[in-house]
Amino acid sequence: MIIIDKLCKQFKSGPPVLDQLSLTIDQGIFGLLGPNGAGKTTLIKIMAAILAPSSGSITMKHLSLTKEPDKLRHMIGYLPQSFQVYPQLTGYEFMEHIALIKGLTHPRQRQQEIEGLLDQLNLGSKAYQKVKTYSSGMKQRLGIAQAMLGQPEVLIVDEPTAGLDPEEKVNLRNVLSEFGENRIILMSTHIVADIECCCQRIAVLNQGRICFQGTQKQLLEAASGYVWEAELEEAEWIQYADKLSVKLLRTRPSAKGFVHKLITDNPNDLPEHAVPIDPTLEDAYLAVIGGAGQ
Amino acid sequence: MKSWFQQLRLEIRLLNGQSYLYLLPLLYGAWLAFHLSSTVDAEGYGNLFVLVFQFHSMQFVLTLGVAMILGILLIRRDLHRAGYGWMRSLPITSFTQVTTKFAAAFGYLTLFTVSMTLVVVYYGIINEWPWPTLRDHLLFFIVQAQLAYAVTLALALLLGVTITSRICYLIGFCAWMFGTFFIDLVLVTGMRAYPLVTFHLSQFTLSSPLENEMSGYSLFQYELITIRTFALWFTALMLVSAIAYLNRLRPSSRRRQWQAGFIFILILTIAAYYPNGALWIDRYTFQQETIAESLDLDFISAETVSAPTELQIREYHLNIINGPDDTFRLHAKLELAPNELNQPGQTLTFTLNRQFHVERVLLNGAEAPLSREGDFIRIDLQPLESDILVLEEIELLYSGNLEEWLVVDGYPSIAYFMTPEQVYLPEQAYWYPVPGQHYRYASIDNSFLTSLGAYPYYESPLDPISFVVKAEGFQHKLFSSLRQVESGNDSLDFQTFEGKSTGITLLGGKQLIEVSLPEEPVTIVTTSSNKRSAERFLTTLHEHLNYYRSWLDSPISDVEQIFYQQMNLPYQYPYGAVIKGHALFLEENLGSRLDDYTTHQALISLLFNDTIYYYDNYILSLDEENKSVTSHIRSAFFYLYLRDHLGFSHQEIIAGAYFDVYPLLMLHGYTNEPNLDIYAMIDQAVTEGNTEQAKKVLREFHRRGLTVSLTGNPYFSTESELKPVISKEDWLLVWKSFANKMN
Repeated sequence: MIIIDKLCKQFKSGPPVLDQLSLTIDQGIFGLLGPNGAGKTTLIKIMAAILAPSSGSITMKHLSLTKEPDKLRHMIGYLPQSFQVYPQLTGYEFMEHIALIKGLTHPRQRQQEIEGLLDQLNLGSKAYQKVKTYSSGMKQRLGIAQAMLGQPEVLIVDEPTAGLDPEEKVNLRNVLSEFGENRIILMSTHIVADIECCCQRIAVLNQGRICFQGTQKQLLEAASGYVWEAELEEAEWIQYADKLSVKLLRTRPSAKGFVHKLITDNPNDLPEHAVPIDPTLEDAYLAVIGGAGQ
Repeated sequence: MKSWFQQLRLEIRLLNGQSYLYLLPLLYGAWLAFHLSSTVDAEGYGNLFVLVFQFHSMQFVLTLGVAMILGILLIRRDLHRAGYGWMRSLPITSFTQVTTKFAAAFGYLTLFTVSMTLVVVYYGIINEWPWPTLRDHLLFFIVQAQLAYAVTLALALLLGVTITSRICYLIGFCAWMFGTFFIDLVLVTGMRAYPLVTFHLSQFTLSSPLENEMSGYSLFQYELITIRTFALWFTALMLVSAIAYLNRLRPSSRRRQWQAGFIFILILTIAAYYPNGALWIDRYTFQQETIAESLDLDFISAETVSAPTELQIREYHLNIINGPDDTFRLHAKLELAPNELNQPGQTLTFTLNRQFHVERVLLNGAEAPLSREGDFIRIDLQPLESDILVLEEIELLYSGNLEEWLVVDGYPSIAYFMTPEQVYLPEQAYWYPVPGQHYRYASIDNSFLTSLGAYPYYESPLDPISFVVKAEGFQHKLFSSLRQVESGNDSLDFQTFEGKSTGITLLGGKQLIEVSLPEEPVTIVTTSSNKRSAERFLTTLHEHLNYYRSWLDSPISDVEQIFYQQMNLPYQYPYGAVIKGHALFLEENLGSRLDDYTTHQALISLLFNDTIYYYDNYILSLDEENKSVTSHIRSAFFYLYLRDHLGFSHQEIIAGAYFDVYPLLMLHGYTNEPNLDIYAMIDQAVTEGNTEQAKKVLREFHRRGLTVSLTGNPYFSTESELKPVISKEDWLLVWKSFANKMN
């Protein structure tokens, strides 16, 4: 279990990036959603023991991040948003170095694990080629492989499917689902589909604060009544567009004009013929960002 | 520990990926080989040690720039790039990150040292360096080079860690320039801030006293130890600072420990500087005292201001013993011509180097009170039994080692020294008591020149006196301006020197070798790097001397030994050469290699027992003024050698002289008008088969004396006098007398 208690992070000037953030993460895949600048990457980096918090605490399996970060680093696997690796090494050489750093000293066991991970992520045929020959998707998969190396108890991945083609995305989600059965995986992403398929629990971060945490079902329930649909002509839409409480999600053309999917916390600002609809997870996320369910 | 070695393997693997880096040590070695190639020449010119040192003072410093760039690059490669930030989540400590980069880069930079070592070994073998000399020289260069790389690399890593933007490269460049050329040229040499040499990254500066093969790094051993100790702690401080700084950037359970470690290392680094700082304080204190008590010379005139003494010394007996604590004990016994000294209140004054501690003074065996004032010893003749003292014997017992650091002519050096390992005690060091009050240094009343320090001042206060000197306990054979008459089974047991001279010079050290030839009584004492040059020099000299020995009275000269090394000879005219006792001292410097010019210098000194080499127009002008042909007659000896022994024609000799082929063959006088063509007369005699006549004439003048004496220093006095004066009439008279005899 990961317990985050009143975590704050403030850089030299400006408002706090993380503000009294408290969160509990159990075993399984935990999704972290939020807009750009919400503080997701900062939170991820703190949890990966790269950055120190300004205040508050993080405890992983009873080990404090601020007091015993060196021990925690042995438990963590981390894939960053921007992942680079030494281009002159081969994939296997790189993995072997990481394995040795993580303490996989037994040669046979190490080899088996490395080869298994590379095969699992469809890098087996490229293992002995230099990383500089890899595509961006291959490098991303190599990053995931090194994060999973050593069977870390906590896996932290930031935008794991970025740069992957659809087939590889599906493959990765399956790998993560399987990997997350007996350990904690924290996944930070913009891609709701990643959350939808993998994450049992979700937190939504906005402006350094948690504005939602719970299951997917709870997120949908939180957005219930906030998502509407209305068919309008273009000229009609203009009078509603300026209303602050109304946010346009999507528009599709129709026989009479356009069907607009809208979010609002004040249905009176909507046209009379607007009807509430069941939100999708993405709708619910956007609604929550806009203040729904708080 | 395993992760440390694994990280090191990665760092080395990444370095190996930059294959062009491995070209640099090869180029460096090739450059050094080219630089030293002049010593391969069969002529054997060039001091190998000095050339290697000079290479280190310039080209090696460039490799420190490589160290600076490399250190910064290694940090910026992954620690400051966003894409590699994830690696801070790995279980690698900041200590491992920094130290493995340091170790990998240090290992790479060692390749430059290996390259240098191989080249120096090669040239050392060619130049016949003995193995101990090769080992010692190499050890010096290797240790200094490696330490320089360590310091520079550590500084580069710290700069790389603390400065995240690319301006780091510019700052690193400035740091390198400051720590090398700026400290050397501007601060140390230009502003004479000599203590700042401690902060030079390599100690290989352009005008360094370490460049002296005989008394360089071996004499400055203590100072080098203090500098190296400080440099090691400074290196540790840079590394600890880098680690402590990195620990601030990410969570660490040892942050406080590293901060405490930084403070601890900082204190130790400052403490490590203390011995070096204290050394400089002592030196400058000594310098201030010396200058304050030096002779204040007017720039125009040089006057001897020694207090006259009524003591007349018949013989000096000097005993030097190196005690078990490596401190020398000296016993000077002066046998006097009987002197009646009136009491009361009379004081005898002696001059003895202030670094010696005088323990006792005995007058005719009875202890007398004394006082010390700088270099002067005042001996109070009271109280004694009778009113009139007939002084027959004075004994002084004194002790100490000698290391006299001074800035001489703007250059710092240890001018005189006596340690168990090496000795340079010329008479101007006043290492034995000399009656009278004599100033050892002079300073000029000119603010610019005074800032140069003092310069050695010596007026040779003694008439030729008998010396008997016995030395015991030195680690290496001693040489002297006097003849060695006795030694133990191993010359290190004891050595005894005897002779008559105005003073005695002692020198010795492990770098000194004596080069000799079979059947040539003259030997040359020099350093190992000059061995081949000395052999070639001695061979040429031997050929010349044998020719002269065949028709001049024997022995030709009192000079039996030539000393050729870097030393501070007295500030006198002419410069760079002096004859003392049976020795000729030639000062080694870049311009005066053991080439033809030096050969002719030695030849003139051996033939005529002086050091007037006629390269100076002032000397020629004095001859011209006196209408003297002395210089022509002396030069004629060499003309005859070329004409008779080597078989050159007159025209060939004259043509060669015009092109300075024979450096000291003087064609014309000062006015460039030949007042008498002595050479033409000799040429005619040789052509007509009357070579013997020419030889007899020259032998006659040699017998009468062709030693030139120059009174006064032409640069400090308008009243110089040059003797002997031989008119052309004198020459013609002798020439004709031998011509008549031949007929």
